[in-house]
Amino acid sequence: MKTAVLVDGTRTPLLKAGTVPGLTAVELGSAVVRGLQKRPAMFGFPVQDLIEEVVGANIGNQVLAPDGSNVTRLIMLNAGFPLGITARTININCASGLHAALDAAKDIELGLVKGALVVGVEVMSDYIAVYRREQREAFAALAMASRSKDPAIKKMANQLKLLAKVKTMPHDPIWMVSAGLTDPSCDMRMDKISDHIAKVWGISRQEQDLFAMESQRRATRAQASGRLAKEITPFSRDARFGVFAKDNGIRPDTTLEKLSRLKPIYPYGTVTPGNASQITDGAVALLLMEEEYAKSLGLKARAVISSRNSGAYGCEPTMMGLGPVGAVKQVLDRTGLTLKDFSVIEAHEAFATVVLAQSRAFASKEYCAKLGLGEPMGDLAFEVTNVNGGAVALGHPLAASGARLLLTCVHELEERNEENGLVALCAAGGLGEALAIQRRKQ
Amino acid sequence: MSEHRFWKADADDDRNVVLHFDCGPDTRQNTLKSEALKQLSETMDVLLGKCHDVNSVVIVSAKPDSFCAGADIGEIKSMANNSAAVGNFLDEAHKLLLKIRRAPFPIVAAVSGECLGGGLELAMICHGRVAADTPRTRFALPETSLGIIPGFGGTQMLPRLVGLQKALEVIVGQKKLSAGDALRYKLVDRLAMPAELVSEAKKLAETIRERDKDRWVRRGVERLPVIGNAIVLSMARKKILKETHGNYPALLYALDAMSQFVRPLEAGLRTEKQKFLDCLNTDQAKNLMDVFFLRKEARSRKWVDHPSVECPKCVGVLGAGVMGRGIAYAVLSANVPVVLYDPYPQAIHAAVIFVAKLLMKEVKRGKLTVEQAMKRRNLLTTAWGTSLRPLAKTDFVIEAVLEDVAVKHKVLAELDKQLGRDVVVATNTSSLLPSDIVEGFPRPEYFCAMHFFNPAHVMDLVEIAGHPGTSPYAIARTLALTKAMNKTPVVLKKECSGLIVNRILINYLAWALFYVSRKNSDAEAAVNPWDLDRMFERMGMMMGPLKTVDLIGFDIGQHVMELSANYYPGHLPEISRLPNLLKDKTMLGQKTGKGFYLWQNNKPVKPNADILNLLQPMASLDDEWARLVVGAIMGKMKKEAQELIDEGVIDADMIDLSMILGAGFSPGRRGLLGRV
Repeated sequence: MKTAVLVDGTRTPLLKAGTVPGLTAVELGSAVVRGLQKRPAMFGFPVQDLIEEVVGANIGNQVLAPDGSNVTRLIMLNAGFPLGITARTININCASGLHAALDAAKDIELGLVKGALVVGVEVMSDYIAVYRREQREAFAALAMASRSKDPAIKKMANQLKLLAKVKTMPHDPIWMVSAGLTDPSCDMRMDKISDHIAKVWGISRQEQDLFAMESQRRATRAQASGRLAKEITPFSRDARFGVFAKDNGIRPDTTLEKLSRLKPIYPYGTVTPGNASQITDGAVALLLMEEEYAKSLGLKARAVISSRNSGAYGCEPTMMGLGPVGAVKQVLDRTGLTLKDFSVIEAHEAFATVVLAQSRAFASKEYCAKLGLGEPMGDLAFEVTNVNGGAVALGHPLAASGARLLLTCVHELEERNEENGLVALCAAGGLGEALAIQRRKQ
Repeated sequence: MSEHRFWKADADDDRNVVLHFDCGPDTRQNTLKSEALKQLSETMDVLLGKCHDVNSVVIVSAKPDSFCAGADIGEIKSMANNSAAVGNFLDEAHKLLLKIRRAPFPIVAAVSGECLGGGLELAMICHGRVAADTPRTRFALPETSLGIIPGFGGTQMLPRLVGLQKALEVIVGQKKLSAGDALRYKLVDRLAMPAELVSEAKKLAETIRERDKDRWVRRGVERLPVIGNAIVLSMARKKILKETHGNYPALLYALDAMSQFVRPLEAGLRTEKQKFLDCLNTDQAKNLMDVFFLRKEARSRKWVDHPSVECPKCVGVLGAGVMGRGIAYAVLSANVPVVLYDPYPQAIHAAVIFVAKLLMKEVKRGKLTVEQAMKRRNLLTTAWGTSLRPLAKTDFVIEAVLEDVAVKHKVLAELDKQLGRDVVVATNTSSLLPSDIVEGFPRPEYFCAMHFFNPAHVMDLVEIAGHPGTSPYAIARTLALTKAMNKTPVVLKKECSGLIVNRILINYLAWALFYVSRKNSDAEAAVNPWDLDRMFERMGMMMGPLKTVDLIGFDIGQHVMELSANYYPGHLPEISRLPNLLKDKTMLGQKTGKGFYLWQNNKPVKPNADILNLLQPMASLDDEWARLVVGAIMGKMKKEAQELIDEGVIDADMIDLSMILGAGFSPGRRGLLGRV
């Protein structure tokens, strides 16, 4: 079997939804692909010549309009790649970005392709809204009546009758941002699930706020020190909008006091906008290649992305955040490493509760016994977890997040000159995916 | 006196003279020694002699962090008993002031760094002032805290420059001004970036010269006597008397001197000199200067037979309660990284807010820039939950958990598993014996007591005590941290429970409780608790005993008293004979809002009559009896102090210093034992 490695990657800044008016997934996705091409490491290496497929990750923009049902193909065409290169879009909710990378890695490992481009993109500000079923039916009936061959007078009466049934006011569509974040299996929105997790695992509001504050503080520090800029390609559309070079969800002026004054989303709940991740637009591009092929071209292999070092697991959908625990268990089984061996851990902060609950589950004898372990997996070391802040501070562009964590993890391993990193994401539906990354020391 | 040139003058092409003030490379601060004043006077004579060749003069310090820290207290103290010498000294100084004031060319002070006491007075007599806009620049007149008054023209010049009301804040209220404050107060004319300080000062001198072109003699803005000033002064006097009970006569002398500021400068200076001499003769001045030097000695004394070691690079604080968070902040102030751990996220939550608020306050007060505050905040790592692993990277740990031997044993055993083999662990115990605590710790030689006082980030004193097995290294390491935090250490030669301050203070509290309750049969009548407090406060204690009990909380007080009663049988009244204050859970002192006083916003508002139900029955007022009780309580405390000396724990001077710094125990009387 061949080895897949990360050659290079970049991301756009994570922009709060609404920052760029009229932004589409194709625009942002194409921008990040162009950004990858402009990276110093890619000088003289046209990406389109290195790859045979593009694996995209997206959740909400590919439903239908405006970005079609396979947004990755659109991005690829928009970037001017040869038509022969294939493209597909992966969706397993928030873990999509990581899964797309693993999917590409598998193709490389099998020898099907020698290089693949992974594009995780999510423009949450471009989510559509749709008519409810009753309204759709009323519209359909009206359209049917318009087409009938009845005499005009009868037809008109019929049309008027049906028009009266179409409720135009109040116009109450289903917003996809909200619907997309609701798990239909339990009919709970993600923030409600987070509240539920907090209750089951006894995670207090203070603890969540502390965690959120720490995320903000670390992100602020990383932004100020220029650490975040290393992975970002600034995004610009035209002179009128200027250049967006920084993640703009970070709040450097927030304090724990301000966070603790926020009103919970649900009455008597603990989840607030302050300790949950944000609605964000963002895109990530990663170039994966077969190691020997990359070396023969003179490209540096930065980290091994091996599908054999990954894990995927599911738990109850109402305990959405705990999926990664089982996935990490699989990773540890497959790699023979323990939690202590990872020098950098990127755990997806969908909510502050999620990571806190995971850390408790890792250390809990009962929970680990349920996964078939005799001993708990150990403590999640917060000093190496999300050292540059997480989605609570930076924002969470759903399908891009997995690829973003992978990119951040590799950068941080290089920054610290360490070898082993771990990326773990939870996904709606109770799923979790995890991957142990091995940095290739140069 | 070595031949050191304190003032170095150089002139530029435009005949602008810059006077550099430097007390030499061996000293951190510039001080106005008498020799320095003499040389300044001579330099001024030279400049005045060739006044046509001088366009302007800028006075600047060669040390960017210290313009001038004021007079040399040592010199003043050595002269204190010789009024004539002091008088001459002041006469000479005042002559110099007038020389500067009446110079035919403008003189501007360019202030960067500390500008205290005599230094500020020198700056004020100049015709203009420019301050460097950095957090290091501070202005203050701290003389009254030493029991003396500003004697170098400060009482005259400050009210002229900023007005009487604001001058009172600085001289009597001991307010410290940042560069921004000084500009708002109109104490300085301009702010400048540090690099442009001198050029800005030259520009200011030019402006002044243009403005005063037609005037032959430059003089300060003399104000008309206004009726308002008299009212302000009399109100200030009343306030001082009410707050200090006349224990700090220096404040009143300062008022007297300031009342003369509307008169011509020469006359005002004469009054100031007289008041300064009067003031210097008081016991308080001598005592306060003594305390100043005791503190200095405590900070420089070689407490332990071990070469000095480096300050820890990362300090762990175990327990984020009121003490823990204060200690964490104090360590952060030394720019040392802190890992603050507590099992409960609630405690960490409160501690993080506490630290963020204090940092914000520092920024507001101009002591830190926003970047510095952010940097300091980033030094703090917090951890909670069951695992002590986050403390693994620390190289010094201060333990501030519950005052219970069993709990401490458990925590220390757990803690040791995470730490390196040479990491010192210090316990912030207030009333337990270090030997008893160390039983739970596998490396006793790396263990000692390091006791902070509440609020830990404010209080200056740190008591340090080893148990018999403590290595000198552990003490030296603890001292290094204390020094980095800019606190005053007192190291006990032998351990004892309660260390110095609490061992004595527990007598103060227990016996006060004993005498306000009528349960005891020896006393014919109990004393009114509020009278007792008042009498002690009149003696110069920062806080009466019962107010202190309120502040500690009845439950904790009871716990500490029981602990101390075990260690020192016979020293304290029997617990059974003390009033039971734990009956009413809504009345446990300041934290519940009710105790011996009713508390609002952390201040005692008025006596709480309900407490009498617990003390019952109440006796009539009797001043004579109260005085006897005060004497009796003082006697108990002095006896305890004497025992400390007899046991060889510590010397009398350091007992006094500890009581002053740790318990606010009448510095005007030089602490508990006083002058020997």
